[in-house]
Amino acid sequence: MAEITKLIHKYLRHDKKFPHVWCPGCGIGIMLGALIRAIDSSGYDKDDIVLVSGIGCTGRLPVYVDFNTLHTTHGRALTFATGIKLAKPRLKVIVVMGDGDAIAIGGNHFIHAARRNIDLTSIIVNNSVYGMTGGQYSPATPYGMKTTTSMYSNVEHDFKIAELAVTAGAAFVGRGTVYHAKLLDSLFEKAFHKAGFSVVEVISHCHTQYGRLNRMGSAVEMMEWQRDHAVTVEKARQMKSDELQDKFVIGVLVDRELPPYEEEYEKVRKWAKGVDKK
Amino acid sequence: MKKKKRKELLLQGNEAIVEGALKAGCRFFAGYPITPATEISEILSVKLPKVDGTFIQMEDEIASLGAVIGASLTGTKSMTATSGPGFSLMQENLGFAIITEIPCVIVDAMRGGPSTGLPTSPSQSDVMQARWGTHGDHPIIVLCPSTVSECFTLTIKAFNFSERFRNPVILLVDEVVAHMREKIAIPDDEEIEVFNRVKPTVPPEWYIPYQDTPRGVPPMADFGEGYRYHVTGLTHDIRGFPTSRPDEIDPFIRRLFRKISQNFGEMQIGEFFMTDDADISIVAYGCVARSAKRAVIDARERGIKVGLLKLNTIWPFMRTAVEKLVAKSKIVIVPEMNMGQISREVKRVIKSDVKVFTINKVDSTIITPEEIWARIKEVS
Amino acid sequence: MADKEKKKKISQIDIYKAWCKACGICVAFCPMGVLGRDEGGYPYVKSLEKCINCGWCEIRCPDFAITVHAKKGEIEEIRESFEKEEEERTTAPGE
Repeated sequence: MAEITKLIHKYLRHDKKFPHVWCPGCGIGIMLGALIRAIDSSGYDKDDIVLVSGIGCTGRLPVYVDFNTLHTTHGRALTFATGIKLAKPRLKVIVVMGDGDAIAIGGNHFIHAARRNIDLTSIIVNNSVYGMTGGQYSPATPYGMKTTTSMYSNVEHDFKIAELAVTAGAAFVGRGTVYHAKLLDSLFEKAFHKAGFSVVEVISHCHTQYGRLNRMGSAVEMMEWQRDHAVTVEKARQMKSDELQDKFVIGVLVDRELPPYEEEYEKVRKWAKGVDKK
Repeated sequence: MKKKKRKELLLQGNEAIVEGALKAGCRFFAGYPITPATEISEILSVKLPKVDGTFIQMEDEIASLGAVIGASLTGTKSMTATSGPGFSLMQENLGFAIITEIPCVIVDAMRGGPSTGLPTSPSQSDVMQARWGTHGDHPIIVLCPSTVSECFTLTIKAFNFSERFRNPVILLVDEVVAHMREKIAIPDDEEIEVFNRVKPTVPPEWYIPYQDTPRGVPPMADFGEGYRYHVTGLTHDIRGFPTSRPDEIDPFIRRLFRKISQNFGEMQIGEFFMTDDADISIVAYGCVARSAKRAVIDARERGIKVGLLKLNTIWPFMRTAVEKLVAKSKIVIVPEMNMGQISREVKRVIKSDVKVFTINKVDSTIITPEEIWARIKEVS
Repeated sequence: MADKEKKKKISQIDIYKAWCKACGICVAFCPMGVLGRDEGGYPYVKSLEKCINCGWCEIRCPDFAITVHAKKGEIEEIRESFEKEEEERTTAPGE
């Protein structure tokens, strides 16, 4: 197993200050480890990977890794990634976002990137809160939860990010948790190899803000909560809906063949040049 | 050797902008439909795929500029086109392109404002937004065509400036010039100077992406060519990584401004029309400059020596040109289709006792030569 | 199991204190209770022989601060190489 960490060191930018910026026990570091392992086993060349992020705790991830890295404006990572992918399709473009980044301010871009099915891998770290700014509720914060902007408890209902991506048209959608780190490796790898828009929602935790306000304990307890509330896709099929009440499904939610946007647009170039007339 | 007859076309302003963009090497466009700029999107959606370029209609203007910046990062010359409302949405990403020094061109076809305003009527009321629309101290280059030919030439200039100074350039065109049709002579390719960004010659290990250079413009590597570097909207050090050190932040901001101030002379594009002996001079831009030219000729026929300084560069403001103007003329008239967004600059620059008069027309119609002539009579 | 006395694998667990933030995840999720937490909350190897080299601690460490790998080979060889590692480990990389 030591090779994993040797391997991770191969992908880190060592002139950056380690240990990284995230709080002790934060799940983003675990996701980063899975991301690096999946990239390594997928065999991509470092020069061909573009890692794009938005603003928030997850936004600080690209600075630590030795790829073409881009830290964009809040919520807009997918739009920059779309431009990169269309202008230079040979690049492998991976977008990491937080829940607020992806589906609050970035929600419009998220559903359109999925609808277009452009070949990007979008990894969304869902810790149900805006961590960086101190623990405000996000569209992923469940009803009734306490946050610094819902101190009388949250009266909004949350998006289910993975299910949202499925209905928006993404070709591959998976959900994992930072507790199920091994599962993240395989979900990321499948997502990378999928032509078209691939989404992996990573359930994580923010014990510093969200966990403290809602007395959910330390990072360990919150990861145990993930373990106890995650149900695999296969198991969920045999469970009745009331049993699934406070559970969420992990694994591959959808994996379908849909033409990626860049291949479709290549047809447009051909029609424009009079090749196989439209 | 007889001058070869240039290809002459009757083009709409927006069409000329497209031709200019393609000639300048633009191969990526992301936009969103908005009057009066939609023609640019429509034509590019047809022409770009023909030249192996990419057109995409994004979900909004924020996404459009985001995609443009992403594409430019891969080394592809990129552009978007919009009008006031869309331009307002683009401001945050415009600031991102400025701080990360990623070349791109943004066309703002001005219509009546504020808000939805007058979608099909002209105005010149986005001038200050083009300068200070995005937050924070930042440099910007804004060019403004007043003829269809200038739509062509200034779009090429916009790309060249953007690539040379690694700074977004805004092409501010009012609805009149954008939508009018005029004869335009397309120069041959050899006559057109196209500039491409300077790329690093050092190997990747030695590449310092934001290191200062004599011209203040660091070479820019394309994403995916082995120079795995970091680009962020956070204020960054010379290696591109976020910094909070004052001794790194100050030189960084000042370098951004130096890129413009150091090349100020070259960015001053305009025309002195009959100003040498002018007692009264007009300072005008865009469609109003056309009326002003007519007014100058009419006035001279009626015995009043009037001249015109036409501004094609709006920002950085053509301070030296205005100073030269008032060396002779003791009266300056600034006709604008806004409440005086450039006349304030003229007043700021003129130190002497020269009197500055304005025409501020905001009723959605173009300022006519007669209106300028009336003002000339009034002030002379 | 044909060859009954299976070669006894002993794992080597390295904790990279410079990066460890004492979050306790490795200690909590080690299935065999190999790790303990010292008074500072930092992990230490409590009972190495129980380690089954599953790597759960390594892949769940948010800071890549713990590694575990199996040392194959004869028991004796293990023992003397074990001492060598012990001494190496005192000069942890990057200290």
